[in-house]
Amino acid sequence: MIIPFELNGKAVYIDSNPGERLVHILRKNFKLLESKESCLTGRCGSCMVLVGDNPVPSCIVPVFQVRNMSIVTIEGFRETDDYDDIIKGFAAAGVTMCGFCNAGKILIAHTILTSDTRATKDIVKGHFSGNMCRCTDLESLIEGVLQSGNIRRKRQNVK
Amino acid sequence: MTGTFVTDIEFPEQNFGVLIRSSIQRGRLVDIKQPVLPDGYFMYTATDIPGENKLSAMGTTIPIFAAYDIQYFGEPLGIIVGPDLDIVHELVSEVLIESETLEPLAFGEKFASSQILGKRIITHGDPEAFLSNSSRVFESTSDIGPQDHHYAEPLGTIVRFNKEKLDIHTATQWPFHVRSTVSAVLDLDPEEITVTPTSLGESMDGKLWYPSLLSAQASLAAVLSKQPVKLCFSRQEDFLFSGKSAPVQIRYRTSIAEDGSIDAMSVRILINSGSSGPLIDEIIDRMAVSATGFYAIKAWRVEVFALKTNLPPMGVLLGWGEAQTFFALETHIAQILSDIGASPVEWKILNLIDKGHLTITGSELTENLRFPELFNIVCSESDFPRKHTAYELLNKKRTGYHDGPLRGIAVAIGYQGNGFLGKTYENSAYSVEITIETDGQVHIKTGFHSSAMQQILKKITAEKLGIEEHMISFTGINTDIMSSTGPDTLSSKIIILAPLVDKCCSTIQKQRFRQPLPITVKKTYKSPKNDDWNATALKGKPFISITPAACVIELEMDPILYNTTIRGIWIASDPGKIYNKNAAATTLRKTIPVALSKLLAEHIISKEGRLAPSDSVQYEILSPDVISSMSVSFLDSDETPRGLGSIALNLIPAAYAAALAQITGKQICSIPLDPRYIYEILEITEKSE
Repeated sequence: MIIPFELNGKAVYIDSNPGERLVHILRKNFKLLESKESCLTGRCGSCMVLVGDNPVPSCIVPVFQVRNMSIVTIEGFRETDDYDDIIKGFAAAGVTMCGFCNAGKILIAHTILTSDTRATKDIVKGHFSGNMCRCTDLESLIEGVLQSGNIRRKRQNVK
Repeated sequence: MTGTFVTDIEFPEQNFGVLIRSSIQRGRLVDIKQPVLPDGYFMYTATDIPGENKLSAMGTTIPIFAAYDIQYFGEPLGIIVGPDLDIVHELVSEVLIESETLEPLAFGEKFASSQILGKRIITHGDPEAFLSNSSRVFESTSDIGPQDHHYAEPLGTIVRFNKEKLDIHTATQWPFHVRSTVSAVLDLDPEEITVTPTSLGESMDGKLWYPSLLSAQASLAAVLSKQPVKLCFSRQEDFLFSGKSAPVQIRYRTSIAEDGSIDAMSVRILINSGSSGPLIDEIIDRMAVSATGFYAIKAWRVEVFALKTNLPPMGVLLGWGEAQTFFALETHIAQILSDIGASPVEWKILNLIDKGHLTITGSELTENLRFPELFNIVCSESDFPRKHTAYELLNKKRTGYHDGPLRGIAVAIGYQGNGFLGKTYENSAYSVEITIETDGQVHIKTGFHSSAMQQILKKITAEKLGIEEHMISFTGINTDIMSSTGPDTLSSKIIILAPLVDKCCSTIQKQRFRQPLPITVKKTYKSPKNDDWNATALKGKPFISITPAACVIELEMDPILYNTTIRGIWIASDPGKIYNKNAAATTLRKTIPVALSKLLAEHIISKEGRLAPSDSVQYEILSPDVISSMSVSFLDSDETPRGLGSIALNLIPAAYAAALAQITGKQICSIPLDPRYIYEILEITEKSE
């Protein structure tokens, strides 16, 4: 089946079994290796991508579902100013990540900030319940998102 | 921010490998019938191994492929490799295995001497004389189940020939063990093998020896098929067949004197090592030396047996057995104190040993353990004395569980042993080489690889040299370049590498504006001349250092649903000199949800040799957002830095269980705390009231 979609801002298509997991397609066909393959059940968050503006674990998305949709992987997101906000915020809060879970943590942080750059600690906390990597602590992560929010507001001149 | 993970590496013309596994728990292999293999697909078994068909690690060996004896369900019998992974899986499912079944070995109080893989007995005085003559003898038995490491990336390896050398990339904590294992299995000179450790993520000490087994299996196939081989487990395969933390049963018998001091303690620890226990020597010894904690005891007997059964090889999780013994010891002590009506903090301060006293291994403590200061912090922050007394009164006056509020608070103490000297330590050597280039970039060369440790070393270097962290990189990390080291665990490395990096940076700073760049400084660790350490007799000082800690947990239980919520966690420890307080706090804080998850959620049982749940997705992990409040404190100190990575695992389960015991009036002595188990305790107690 021919499946067209937009990947990191470029129109692409693949000829694939429609039931193939999106994470396999991203890694095998497009060599986008920072979407990691781990649990294959959608609970660890390592394969997170943005489908439209929503963070989705790409391991549980059959590729036919992204037909004509826009997908941003962490590689694509890295080219944006929004990514810089998060990295600076995480660094300020002392967040260190192992590299395997970056896609999940960064894209979830982005989703929170897109919704509200002044998100409260409780809201931030709830969003990370689906990220199972044990490489950093939740408290630093929450602080990292709050710091990122400050940076994004400054960049966007939001008071 | 990302390193290279083994699943990300691909080589041209690589084959994929899938293991052929036994379908019985115990028996004899009669025949393996190879399916018709398409061109380019190959199958290899034990008979194809040119060297030794075994992996050796700290006193135990396990076969690379079972040749005759099948010792657990899922044991590797061979490997099929080929260019299409799906076809390889199909071929593996078509392999016919003929075997004879034998009765599996059981785990329990009664066992045959042939089941003993290792044992250790330490005695002092005559504990039985106290125990048989005392009217105040307390007994408890704790059962702690197997648990998965649940690291981010499942196990994997990729092997190829590169410039006449066997080039292995794998996520391992022990690259030199990979090299020595592959060398022995393939009968190759170690110099013909290069092992490059890939990114580990948080390994939880689950990638110590298993990557050596996988690498040996993949290397055999790569050498014989003359093509690169990638052998990576799926999450499901990793969950079902990789080593877990060994299940243990720990029985304490303690006699208490009239003045409340401990007359005698008898401890019996049974470790279910599975089919074989790589690292079992160290687990046994670390459990033995931690079995009595730092309590002052007149006479003791500690016996530890590691027993062979027909489960997959069982290993270590963070703490190497200390977490299990501290859980059993502290819940046992909490029960005693509740029964004799003693105040936990006052009693512990009175009955702990300190500077000048002898430890269980006969060494004299040369420094204050600072437990009173640790108690002071956690007690004042948590308001422990008042709450403990109040909850004790409330719980005693209560007419039933529906007569709330149901609250409990408990304190547990323990330590993390850093740099266990054991039997293998003498072979370990560590060095750090730091170069500052003309453009200000700094390169660090060590034998170490974990990202957590790299972050710590980066922070020290950045701070000492006054540069940004992004200017620092790690180089030359493979077995051709790095010095031969033992297994890499965070606790043993922080006490060695952090001071070495510190010294390198100090030397660079002295030379920096006097000599032209680049400047390279190398410092090598010299193992302590521990003349009074006898690994065979387990006499002397077993660790390079220890990190003492205290923990208070407060719980509240819903009187209708019996759900327990954590009102607060307070931990204080003495980690020596702290280079970066945030990093130290993060190291401790990130393991608190792990400890709670191990205690409350992560449940594995064995059903006829097969681990259940049978699907990794059913292995429950506690979400970190269940903790509402936690406080982490450190004592100020200029002592050498000490590890913090397993403090939470060593203390939190015991404190939690003791707080729950205060609510229920029943000793909680099993991990994980199955909700059904708690429900049964409460229902039985309710009915009896």
